[in-house]
Amino acid sequence: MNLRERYGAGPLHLISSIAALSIAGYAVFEMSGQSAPIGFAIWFVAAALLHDIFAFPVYSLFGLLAGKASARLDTAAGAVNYVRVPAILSALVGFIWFPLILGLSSERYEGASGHSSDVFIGRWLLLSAILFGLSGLAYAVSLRRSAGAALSDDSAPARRETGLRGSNRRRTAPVGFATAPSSADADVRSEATNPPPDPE
Amino acid sequence: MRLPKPPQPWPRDPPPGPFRDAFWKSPLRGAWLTSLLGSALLPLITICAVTGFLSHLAYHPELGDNSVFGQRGILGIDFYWIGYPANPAWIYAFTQGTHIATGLAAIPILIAKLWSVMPRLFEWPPLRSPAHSIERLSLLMLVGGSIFVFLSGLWNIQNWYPWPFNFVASHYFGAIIFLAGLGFHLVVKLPVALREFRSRGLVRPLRASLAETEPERHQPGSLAPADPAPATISRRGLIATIAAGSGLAALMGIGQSLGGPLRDLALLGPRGRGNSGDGTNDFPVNKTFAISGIEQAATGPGWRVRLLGGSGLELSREQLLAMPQTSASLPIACVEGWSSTQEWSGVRLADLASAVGLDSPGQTLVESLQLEGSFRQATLSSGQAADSRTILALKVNGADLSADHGFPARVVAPAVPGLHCTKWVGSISFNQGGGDEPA
Repeated sequence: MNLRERYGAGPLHLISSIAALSIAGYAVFEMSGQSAPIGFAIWFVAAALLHDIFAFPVYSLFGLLAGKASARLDTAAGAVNYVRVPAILSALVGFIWFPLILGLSSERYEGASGHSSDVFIGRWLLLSAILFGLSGLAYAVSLRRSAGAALSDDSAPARRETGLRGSNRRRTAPVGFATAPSSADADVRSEATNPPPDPE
Repeated sequence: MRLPKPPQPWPRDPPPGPFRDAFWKSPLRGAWLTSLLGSALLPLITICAVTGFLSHLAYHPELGDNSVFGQRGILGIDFYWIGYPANPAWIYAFTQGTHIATGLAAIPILIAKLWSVMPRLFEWPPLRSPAHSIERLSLLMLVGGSIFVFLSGLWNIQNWYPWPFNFVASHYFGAIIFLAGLGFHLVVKLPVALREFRSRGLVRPLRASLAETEPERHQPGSLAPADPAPATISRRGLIATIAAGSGLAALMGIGQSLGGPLRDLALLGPRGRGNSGDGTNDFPVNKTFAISGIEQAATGPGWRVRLLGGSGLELSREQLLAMPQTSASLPIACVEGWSSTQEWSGVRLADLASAVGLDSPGQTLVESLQLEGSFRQATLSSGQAADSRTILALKVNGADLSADHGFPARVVAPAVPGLHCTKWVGSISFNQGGGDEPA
């Protein structure tokens, strides 16, 4: 039985895993001599779980709700992004600065900087309003543009890429993952749901 | 006769729910997307790590009581001979501003990357071989380490400390665990990413519009979905959203670092504002006089700076002002990633050393009037103390220092972290511990 069968990977994998674990072991050893090593260990493991068991279910739920709402409103494909993108950016900024926004460190922050942290919630709401405002503006422009395109293009009345409800008919060859040449006569509908076999 | 099969540690069929391939619907997930996100993270994390370790060096932890967490270097080996340059004077403002800006910029990409590999948490069987088990253990170092290091840094710059341990030590050693995990992850995954880019192209999939967006091809064990939902955003749409988040986060760091009118861009940055309405002293501080614990009277007319070493001397503020004054345009550069360049004037430390009969200041311990706090004192290297721009500042922008900026006198020095530019100076001790340490 060779290394690959016994261990499951080649020698480089084994050597680098030993190196990585040794370095981590050194850091753990150093931390064990610091204050509150158990607290550090708990926080470290909790950090590993934070995204997977807390953040992921929360943002996935919002994502699903946005998808459901979008389906119920019967909007065009992609229209949901005019809500989703500013919401993601606003949530991101909110997440990064939540200790200041919620005033969790208000006393320390004031002692350090000489300023109150009261302004941050207003600034975050202002930034969110700007983001949603810009997105709404972009949506209005896209609606107007697709309405204009529909009036001037009688041959393709159903083609509305971003605005009103429309089909997702593909007009150009797929890029990237579906590499088969697309035939103009092919049924693009069925191709969209069944990707062509990869030539590899 | 057939031998009985050895017992399998795991049932062959995965449990229902996320352990099954069909659970994961996003048509954008796949090895190419994860590779792209990883490739965007790698340079940011590399720069963030290098500048982080540089900051550690900039504090000269080998001198005096500078180290916040004991004196040991890597495995007890002293690697501080590398030193930290004093030129240009803004080098620490640059490296530390970069540390914070790259760290902020990495956060949205890190979240996206964690999202993209989510199905991996539920892979079945959970442990396949010793190599696979070690890989999964290393993910604790990688995922736990990255989130721990980013959150601790992020909360430190917002003065929020919900944990029981020392921030500096945990951020430093947590980073070492994280980087060890990252190094191993690169050995395992870099070939996968390169293979993806060779077959799919680095950016080719970004050319597809929403209507053209196809899922990556599913294979057993791949990240690409077995049963994808229709795409609701293109890959370029997703990447552009992440990039916008990254830019927005970085902008707040950069604004605090470059200062001037750009400081207003740091809308949610902790130092997006100055310190007071007073024009000459209107730039940020890391500690106000109010929480320094210093009695008002101690900084009044009776204040003297005690010079220790040589013949020793006590000087009042008037006597200091009567000495030759030196001006220097130097940044106050905080470890928390903000900085502000001002025009300081006062007496050179080198001139104060001459006043007590010394040729040069040597390694110099500066103590504040504060009675408590890790940074009530700092030891400057002989090179830092002897620099012609290192001054005991009495004025800033032509006006007396404000109480928050260290009245009656504070140290300013080129390329020295702000926390070592001691405010409310009470005493300066020259020639502490020989002159054999690096400049």
